[in-house]
Amino acid sequence: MAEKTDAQSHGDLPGSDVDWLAFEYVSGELEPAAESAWESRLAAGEVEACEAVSRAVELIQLIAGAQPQLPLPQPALAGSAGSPWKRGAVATAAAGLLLAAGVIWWNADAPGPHREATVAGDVAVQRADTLLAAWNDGAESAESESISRVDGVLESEELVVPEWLVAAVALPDEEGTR
Amino acid sequence: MASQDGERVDPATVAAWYREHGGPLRSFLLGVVRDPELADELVQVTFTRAVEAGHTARTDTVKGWLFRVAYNEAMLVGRKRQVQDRSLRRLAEQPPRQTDVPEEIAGLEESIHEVRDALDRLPVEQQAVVRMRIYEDKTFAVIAEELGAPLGTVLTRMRLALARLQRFLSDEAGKEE
Repeated sequence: MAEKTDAQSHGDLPGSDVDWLAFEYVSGELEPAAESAWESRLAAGEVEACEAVSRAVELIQLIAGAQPQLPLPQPALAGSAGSPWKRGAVATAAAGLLLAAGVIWWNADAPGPHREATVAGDVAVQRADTLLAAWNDGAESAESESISRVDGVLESEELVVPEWLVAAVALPDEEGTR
Repeated sequence: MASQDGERVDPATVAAWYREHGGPLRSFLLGVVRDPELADELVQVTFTRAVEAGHTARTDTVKGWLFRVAYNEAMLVGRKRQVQDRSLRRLAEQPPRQTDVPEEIAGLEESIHEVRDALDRLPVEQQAVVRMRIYEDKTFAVIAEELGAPLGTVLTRMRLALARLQRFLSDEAGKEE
């Protein structure tokens, strides 16, 4: 760690100490004593230190966003069909249907002794259909549940919008007119 | 700054503060608590405090007042939930700015392209440290071990890289203004 301290104190390095300290703080690499000292600057509202933390966060996010193979993260939608669990359930139901269809096809022209197998195949199809329908219902109800939950919040709780937020939305964009 | 009743700040004033300082304040809080939902909550709390007690801030120290209130609220509200996971992963997963404004989204995409270009222009050894620290979320100690380089060297490379990226972005922002 002595090396780390040496590196921090290199006065000839470009970039301010405060930016570097902010990056180390944000990335959890500050040692406890240095972290306490840094946090006391933040607690005092030292603008330079606080702004350095903002800059460090934004720079990390920009660098992360610039990663070639990773697109910018999109907000996840409630009830989205893209979850691995749902993909797995769909795949399982589809496999079950295919299997059942195969059994029916195999036994389609079978005489008496194979009749039981055909019946079993019919049952399998019905079960697969039921499973698929149930899953679809479940998925739909999960979606509607998430929507109704949101509606419920809107209906059951009085939505208090702070005045400053209303004003922020209503005010013309001063920056845009500068 | 204070409204007619002398104690609460005019909502329009707080709205102006929000427009000017809300973005940096959220980034700041995200750096402190590492939780986007909590950071949003704390921004709300901070500006609510501003309505109630912002009149105690002088005009030239509003920003510092907001940062101080935000940090202290983060300590009060967020202490229990705070930063179990010190990795950069969760932070890096967040989009740099939350906006629905098409111009801002376009500006954000442009900034990302610029950072990508700037990263490509860094010396290879600096690129490697940036990649390992931010994309792979390895600590500096692990990076030093894997690269077989002294920790101080790794830190210096990261610091140089960040300074160059920061300077590059500042230059680009300067050109836009």
